[in-house]
Amino acid sequence: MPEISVVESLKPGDESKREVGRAIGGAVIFGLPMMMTGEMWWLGFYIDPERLVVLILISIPVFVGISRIIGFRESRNLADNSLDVFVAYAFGFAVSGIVLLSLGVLSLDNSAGANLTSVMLQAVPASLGALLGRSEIGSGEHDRTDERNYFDEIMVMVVGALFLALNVAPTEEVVLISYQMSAWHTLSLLIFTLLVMHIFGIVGSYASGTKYEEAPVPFFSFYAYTCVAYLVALMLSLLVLWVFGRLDHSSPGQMLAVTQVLIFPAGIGAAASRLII
Amino acid sequence: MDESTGKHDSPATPLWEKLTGAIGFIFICFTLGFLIWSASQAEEHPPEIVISVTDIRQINDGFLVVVRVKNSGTKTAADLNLSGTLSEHGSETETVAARIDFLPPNSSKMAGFFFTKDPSQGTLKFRPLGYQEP
Repeated sequence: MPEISVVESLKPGDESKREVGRAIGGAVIFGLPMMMTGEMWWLGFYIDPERLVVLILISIPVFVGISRIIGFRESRNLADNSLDVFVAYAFGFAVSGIVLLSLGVLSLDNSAGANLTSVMLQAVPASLGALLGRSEIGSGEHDRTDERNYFDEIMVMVVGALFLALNVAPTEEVVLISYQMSAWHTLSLLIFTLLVMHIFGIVGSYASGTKYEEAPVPFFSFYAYTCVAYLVALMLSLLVLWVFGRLDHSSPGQMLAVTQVLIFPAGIGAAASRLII
Repeated sequence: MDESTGKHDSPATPLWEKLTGAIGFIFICFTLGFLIWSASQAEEHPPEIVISVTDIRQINDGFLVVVRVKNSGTKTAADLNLSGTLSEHGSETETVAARIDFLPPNSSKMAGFFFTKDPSQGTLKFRPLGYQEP
C-alpha cells in the first residue's frame, strides 16, 4: 500500500524538515500583518535605537518563558529553551529580511543601518511566530494545559496580548482614536474591555479545566484571571507604545487614553489566548 | 536537568538546530551592538538635505526633472517638502513642488518635478522647504 508506506517511511530528518517548515510558516503568519503595515517600515527608519534594544532585551526572557510552556520539548531546562528562542530569531530574521526585500521596503538607497533596523524590528514578532509555529499548537498532540502553573498561565496571556498589541500599536489609528474619545468614551471602553475579557476568562476556564467554582471569595476569577490579564495587557501596551514612540510629548491624560485604546485589543488577546494555546 | 520522558524529546539536539540557534544568537548580538553604537553617537545633526539632478527628459506636456534627495544628517525627515525653481535671465519663470514622506539618515530617495518650460533654457534650483520630526 503506497499511502501507508509513505507514513511509515518518515525518517528522523523528516521531523527536522517539518519543523523548519513550521517555523517559517509561523514567522510568516505572525509577522505578515506588521510587515505589510507602512508605519512599521517608517518606524524602522526613525525608531530610537535605545528603545529597540530594550524591546529585544525584554523579548528574549519573555520568549524563553513562552518556549517553556508551548510544549515543543519535554525537557524544560533553560539551555534548551534559550536555544529554541535563538533558532526562532534566526527564522524571524530570515523571514522578515526576505519579505521586506520582496516588498521593496529594503533598498540600497537606504543606509545599511536603516535596513538592518527595519529587519530587526520586524524580526521580533516574526520570531514569536516562529517559536509558536514550531510548537505542537494546532497539531492535535498539544495538551499540556493540566501541567500549567500560574506563571505559565501568565505567559499564555503575554502571547495573546503581544500578538494583538504589536499588530495594532504601530498604526496611526491608535492615536487618532484617542483624539476623538472623551473621558466618558475612555471609561466605557475600559468597562467594555474588562467585560469581554471576563467572558473570555470564564469560557477559557472551562476549556483549560481550571474551575473557579470553589472560589474562596465572590468574583474570585475576576481578580485571579481578568485583573491579571488586564495588568499583563497594560504593561505590554505601555512597553509597545513607548518603543514605537506613541507616548512621546503627550499629556498624562492623552497617554491614559492612548494606552486604554491599545489595552482594548491587547487585553482581549491576553484573556482569549488560553482558548487557543 | 529534567528527566525526559516525552515523545518529542530526542536525546541529542539536532545539529541544524544548534547552527541555526548560533546564527540567531550572532544576529541578535550584532544588531544589539549596532544599535548601542548608533545610540552612543552623541551628536545629533538635524536632517541635511542635498538635492542633485539625475535626469531631465521631455514628456507629453513639458519636462520631467528627476532628482536624488539625500539626507546626510543623523535624524529622519518626515513630510519633507521640496521646491524646484526655473529662472531665466535672473527672474523666476516657474516654481514647482514635490514631497517625500520619509527620508532616513544617510539615505536617499528619488523625486520628480514637472516643469512646463524647458529647463535647459534657464537655471534650475532645488531646495528643501521644511519637514516634520516623525
